[in-house]
Amino acid sequence: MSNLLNKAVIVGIGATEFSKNSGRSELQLAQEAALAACRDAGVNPQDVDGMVTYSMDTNPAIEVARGLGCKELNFFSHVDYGGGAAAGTILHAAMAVATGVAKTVVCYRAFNERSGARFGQAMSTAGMAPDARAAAYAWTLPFGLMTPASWVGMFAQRYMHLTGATSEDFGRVAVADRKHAATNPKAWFYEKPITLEDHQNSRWIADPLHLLDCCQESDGGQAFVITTPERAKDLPGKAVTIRAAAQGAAYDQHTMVSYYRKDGDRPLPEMGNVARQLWNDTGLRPEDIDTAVLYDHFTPFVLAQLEEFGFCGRGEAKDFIKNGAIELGGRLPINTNGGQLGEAYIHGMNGIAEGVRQLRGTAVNQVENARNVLVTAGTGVPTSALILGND
Amino acid sequence: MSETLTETPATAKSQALRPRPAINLDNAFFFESLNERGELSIQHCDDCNELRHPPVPMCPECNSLHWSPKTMSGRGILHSYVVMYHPIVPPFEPGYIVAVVELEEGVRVVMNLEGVAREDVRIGMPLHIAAERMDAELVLPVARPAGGAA
Repeated sequence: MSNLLNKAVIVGIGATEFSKNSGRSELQLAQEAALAACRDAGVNPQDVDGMVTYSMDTNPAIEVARGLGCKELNFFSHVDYGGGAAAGTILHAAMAVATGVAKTVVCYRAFNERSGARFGQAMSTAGMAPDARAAAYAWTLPFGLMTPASWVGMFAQRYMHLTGATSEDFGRVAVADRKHAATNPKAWFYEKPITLEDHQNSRWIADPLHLLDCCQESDGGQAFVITTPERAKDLPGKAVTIRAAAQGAAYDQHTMVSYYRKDGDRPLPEMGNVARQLWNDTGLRPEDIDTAVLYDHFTPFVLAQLEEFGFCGRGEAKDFIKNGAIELGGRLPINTNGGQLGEAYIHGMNGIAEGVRQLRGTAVNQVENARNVLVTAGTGVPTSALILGND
Repeated sequence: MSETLTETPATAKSQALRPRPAINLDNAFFFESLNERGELSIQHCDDCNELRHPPVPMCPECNSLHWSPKTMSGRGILHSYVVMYHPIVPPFEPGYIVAVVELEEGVRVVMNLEGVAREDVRIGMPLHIAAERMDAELVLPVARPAGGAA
């Protein structure tokens, strides 16, 4: 068991607007989000002494720190595996402040993922040195399996075959996300809910995935300030406790394409690893979670996550989510900000901000008396998740 | 399957080539076996006989670094698949199928599935895998329904 339990807090959150064309550099977005998080916390940005981001972010810690005017940095970490690192940034920051390596750490992610390099376009390794990262794509790109939707669609087809889940079951996730986005003024799809029929009628991207199974592409930045509970007592920002955070990979792990495991029939054992750590560390159970932000780059993996965390049995997520169970007022409201389908795709970081707002009581779609919130990071990759609390 | 090194007809529509695999010391044998002999070869541990794909220098079962390529039978079943519509990058055309094929030897390999209509594709269907030349430099495995007209 980790001894990190309740030893760090998120005391500030900050973000830019979420858009399709920010009109400014990714570095500017990172600095704006980081400054907003410091102001929310009541921290002088010059006193930030640690920085964490992740592998696909283009903004070096020292460049973000230059803009903030940080006097010195004692800790910087660059967490691997893209969106799977989102909650991992909070874990690294929590470890740093809990051990005294750093006092005040900013975690950030900022990109122009719609107006700049789009993740939904075909991946290419042309011009890259043939190292292990590039060579891993030799098993997919020459066959035209070149996009995140195609990689996840392969899992989704197998999952449907094994569980009897249908495209409509995936669609219920999209409907819930868009329902929540419809009442969130910060969401790209504010006041634009969809029906299950809209989902079914949306065009194919990578059959079995429709367009409305896929998250948005977005521009924006999101940042957090992490410190100790003791230091937070002297700060104006309302601190939210990091009850536990964990990273996880599983056996024979690949990035987005772990098709080769001998059992072959469990899409996300890496998230099962993370779930086991979080339940063990906190002593909490699925029924203790009041609301969750489950990473939703593509809808099918939301079902698989519900199963890996034990909210329902294997193959039973399609039944669990029926009748509005994952919508506000249901047994487990998820992605109350609208998720990455509805609010914005900020690579999992905007979901952590929603977890903080739920526990501060400031969410636009507030779950009453929320005490424990689960937030997960990217699925299909080595991943991470955390449980936040408000005491 | 070593007998079947067939030519995919060049289409007038597109001169674009498929993406090149990034080839290095760990995976070159796979593409060389296809290109030079028309064989689908999988990495085989010389010490514990474990087959592993995608290749990795060290055997996960026994940590041996000794391995050699082993030619597969060319028989397998469909494990999963996607039908691609967006984005479409030439030379691919809308509606092409990418499959995960489970070889009868036990390992799974990604390849294209051809010779079957979308509505007739079934997970578990038996497949025959042949090496097919895509262009002057690239030979890839392609799966088709076993026993059926291709």
